[in-house]
Amino acid sequence: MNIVNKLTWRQLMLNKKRTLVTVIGTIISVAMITAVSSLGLSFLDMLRRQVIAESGEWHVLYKNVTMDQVEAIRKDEETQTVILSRDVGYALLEGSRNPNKPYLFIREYNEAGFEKFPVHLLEGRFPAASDEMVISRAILDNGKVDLKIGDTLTLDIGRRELIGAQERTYLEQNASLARYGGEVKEHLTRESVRTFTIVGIIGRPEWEPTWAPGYTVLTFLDEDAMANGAAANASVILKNPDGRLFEHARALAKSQGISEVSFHHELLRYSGVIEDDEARGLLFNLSAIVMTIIIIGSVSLIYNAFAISVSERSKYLGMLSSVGATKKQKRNSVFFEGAVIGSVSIPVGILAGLAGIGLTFAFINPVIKDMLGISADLFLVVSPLSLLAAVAISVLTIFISTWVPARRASNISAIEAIRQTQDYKLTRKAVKTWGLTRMLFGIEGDLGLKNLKRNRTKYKATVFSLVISIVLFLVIAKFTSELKKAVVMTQAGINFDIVINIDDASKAELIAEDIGSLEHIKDFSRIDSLYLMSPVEKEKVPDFLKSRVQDASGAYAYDAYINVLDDASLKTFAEEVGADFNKLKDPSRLSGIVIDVVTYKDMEKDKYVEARVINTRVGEKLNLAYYDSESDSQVQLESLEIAALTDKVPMGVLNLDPGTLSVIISKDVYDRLVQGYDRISEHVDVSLYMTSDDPLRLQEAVEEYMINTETGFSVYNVYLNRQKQEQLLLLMSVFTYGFMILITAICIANILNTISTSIALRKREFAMLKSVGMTPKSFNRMIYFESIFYGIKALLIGLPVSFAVMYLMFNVLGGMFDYAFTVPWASVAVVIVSVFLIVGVAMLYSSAKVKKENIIDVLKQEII
Amino acid sequence: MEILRVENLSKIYGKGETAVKALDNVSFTVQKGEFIAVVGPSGSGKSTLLHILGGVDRPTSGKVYIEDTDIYSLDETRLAIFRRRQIGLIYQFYNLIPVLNVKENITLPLLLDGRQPDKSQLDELVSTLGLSDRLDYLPNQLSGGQQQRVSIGRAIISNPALMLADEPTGNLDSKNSSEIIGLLRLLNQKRKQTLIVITHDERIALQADRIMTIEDGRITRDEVIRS
Repeated sequence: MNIVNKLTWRQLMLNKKRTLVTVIGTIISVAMITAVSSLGLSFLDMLRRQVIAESGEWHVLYKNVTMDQVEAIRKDEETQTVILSRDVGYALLEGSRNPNKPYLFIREYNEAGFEKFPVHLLEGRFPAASDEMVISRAILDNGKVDLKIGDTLTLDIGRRELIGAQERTYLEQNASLARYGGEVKEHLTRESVRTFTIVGIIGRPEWEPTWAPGYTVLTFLDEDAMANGAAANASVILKNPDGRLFEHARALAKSQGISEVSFHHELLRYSGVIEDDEARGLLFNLSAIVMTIIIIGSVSLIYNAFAISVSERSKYLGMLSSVGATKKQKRNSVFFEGAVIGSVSIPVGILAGLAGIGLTFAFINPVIKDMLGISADLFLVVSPLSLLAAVAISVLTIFISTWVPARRASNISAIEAIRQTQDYKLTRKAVKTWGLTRMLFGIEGDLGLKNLKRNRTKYKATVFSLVISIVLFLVIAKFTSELKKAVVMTQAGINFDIVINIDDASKAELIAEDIGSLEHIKDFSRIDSLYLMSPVEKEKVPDFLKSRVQDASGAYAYDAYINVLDDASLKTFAEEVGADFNKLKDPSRLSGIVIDVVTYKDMEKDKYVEARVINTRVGEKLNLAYYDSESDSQVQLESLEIAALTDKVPMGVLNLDPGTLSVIISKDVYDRLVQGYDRISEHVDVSLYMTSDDPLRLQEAVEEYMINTETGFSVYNVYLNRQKQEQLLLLMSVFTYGFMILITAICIANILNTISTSIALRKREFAMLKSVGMTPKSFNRMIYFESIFYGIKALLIGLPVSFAVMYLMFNVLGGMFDYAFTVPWASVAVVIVSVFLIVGVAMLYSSAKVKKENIIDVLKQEII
Repeated sequence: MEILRVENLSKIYGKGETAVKALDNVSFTVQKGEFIAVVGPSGSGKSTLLHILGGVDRPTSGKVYIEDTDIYSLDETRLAIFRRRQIGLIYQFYNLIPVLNVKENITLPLLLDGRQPDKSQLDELVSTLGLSDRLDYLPNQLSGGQQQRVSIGRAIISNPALMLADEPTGNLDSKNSSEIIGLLRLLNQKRKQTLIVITHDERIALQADRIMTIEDGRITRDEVIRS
């Protein structure tokens, strides 16, 4: 170690507190960089495992391929494993007690299929020949059929054909059992007969929809037996999936004459392979923005720490220069300081970052599992590459942060350092304030403002830190709310877990009562719905809808989707939208709630749009009519008074196409409305909607009920779809808020650091002010004003910048969604309060220490 | 008229074995308009005495009455207000506020009091100090002598009962020193300003009405050389 470095080292050791602040600041930055990169990797890893658990590990799917084509795919240099699968068809399940699931659904896998698709063997073994099969446990539990390992079944296998359709229509697993008016409207064709021995039992596969009519059974796909030109689906696992795989697979398909290729986009996306250029651009932009913000935040913190350290060391740097140290030596001493700090902070920071993320995961894993029933755990994934990147970014950050202070240090001359020139550079213009400041805030306010202005660099650094925090907070709050809104919009208003459609209206009353009393139901509502028409005057129709709601004769009429809510649900909803429940129940004065704001997907623009669909007011009348098919005429009903207009939707009512008005009315009003029109009630659908704390168990209970009472209705469990969206939202929130907290921590550290140093450097001055008779009260006033001016300045810059960034982001994301830009005022209020709080606390904390000091002790300190 | 009375003033720094007696049972009185020079070797307790008189340090025991007010019976706020109205302090290193210009530095005690300076009075003071063409300057744009004149202006602007100076010429060359001495003497005579100055500078001491010598925390000599 040469003498300059030795001196620097001693200086660092001597000023332990200052060194510690710098080290801590650097540690926070490094920890954050590490945390962000490993957080991203871990999420991707978890999502990847989740996707594999749900839909298997494969990348490319070639449909309907012959064995020759399979051979060609196998020979391709990119192919690692080929999984073959084939849907054989349906067979009747003898003795199934679940009226919605009368079939077995038979699928074949080759050996790789059992390995790579998510199949969980509970008992026995996987089939090894085409006359062996494994059956889903749901056949025993749900269908109540007594089958066991070793049983042999002979099955007539065929396809599901719809009865009464004009063309031949075959149904697949995602279509529930076709029913109409209480009767099953489908049957099985007969294609082949096969005999199977049961060799094992598997769990219900996650890819089987809950409403699917067939229980899954799996058998072995015998490749040798397939030689006769029969086709199967080939799912391929690639050796090294990267961006070129799409082109490669399509080329392969083309050369082999394979007509259908598809890709496992979900899995590929989480492995970092994205075909869609737009999506990739978005992802790239987003991560670039995040990384830039992190680096800006870290550089400003570390830069500040070094700048302050250098200005405090300026005296000894000047002395060094007076005994002949060169510029280079002085500059290197700052870089040496950077190296010392970096060699401590980087390892500690990386460990702290990993520990922090590990702890976060330990904390949120049970939450994720409880709330969302996600099966994959969140593991801490650390790749050497990401650590290397974290180190590189940290080194770069420290280097950038020390560059300017090092240059400044190299320019410090002996005389400047000894005279402590900082204030010598003050000019009248720099500290000029308006006379108004003094008039308004007194000498204390004026002094506070001048204090800010005297040291522009520090003032700017502090304001900059505040601005970064403000912008980040607002943008992230907005981003998250935007994301929520986007998810809600794409859900098309699905706000329930399970829906039951009862097509036999005569039994509705009884079923509703019984189902409503089951366990695990959180919210329950019954909605009787029917379609009417609502003729309107031209002026009431917004322009974009005019062509859509005009009928052949040129008159304007909406479809009116009338929803009759049960009283309990209606009461809750009426309160929510501010309508009078009693008035809604009054049959002598028919009234209803109209949903006038609708979100729909504009097919032309390929965007989600939120729009007002009718120009009307509360209190106006809504005409209603129905089309009577027997007399082939439109029959006018009594008109309905609009009790409230809303954009809220009660559970179960879907957002429909904008040409359809959704109207909510009470049972009493409905009865009065259709009195005397018996034919209307034939068209009423009865649906029961419920949310649940355990949707799967509730579904079992509902099916149990159906089996026991032998009634027929369809059950749809949409919980899984909903859950997936919510998962994504939660993960995004954890990520964004975690990021925000880290950045805010950095900025607060930054602000505390700058403010406490600036106050410590002004100790003499404070003592001086006190000695000429500044009371403690006016001293506090001065400090308050200083904080307030900091806050005002930061807000004046930060708020407009935030709005600009939010608007920009809104436009980027707005490619998919179309609704008005809103300012998150609640978050803005939070920001304003927090800014003053943070600055105020920082100033009070630092000035409290100064205040305690004796005037004389301070004044006596050596002036240099 | 008696303007200052000091009774049995003691100040002890530290505790137990390491305790240092900076002032040891000091008593004296000062009449209005007196110009007193306090002399003595380094560490004799002169500065401590001055600070206690100025209300910026607290005595271990004893009392200080300025215009019959027992200043150490006041709370911190009242003492601060008392300081800005009744005491003018001048330091060796000026201690001006760097962000305020000359005019603002001089009028600081009034500004803190929420008062506006009387224009003609200020003009007169500034021209006496020879700073009329420097009112808009910041302290760092002034020479040492000019800065010290600003701090004298600040000390006297509120017409204090007592003006205290701690080696006001200790940091100045001889030309500037004579100017400052002349100025202090002038203020003393013209305004009947009571003045206590700590000094090593014989020329100041010789200008004074009374010379007080302090050694080891006690007044060892106190002689009136003119009256």
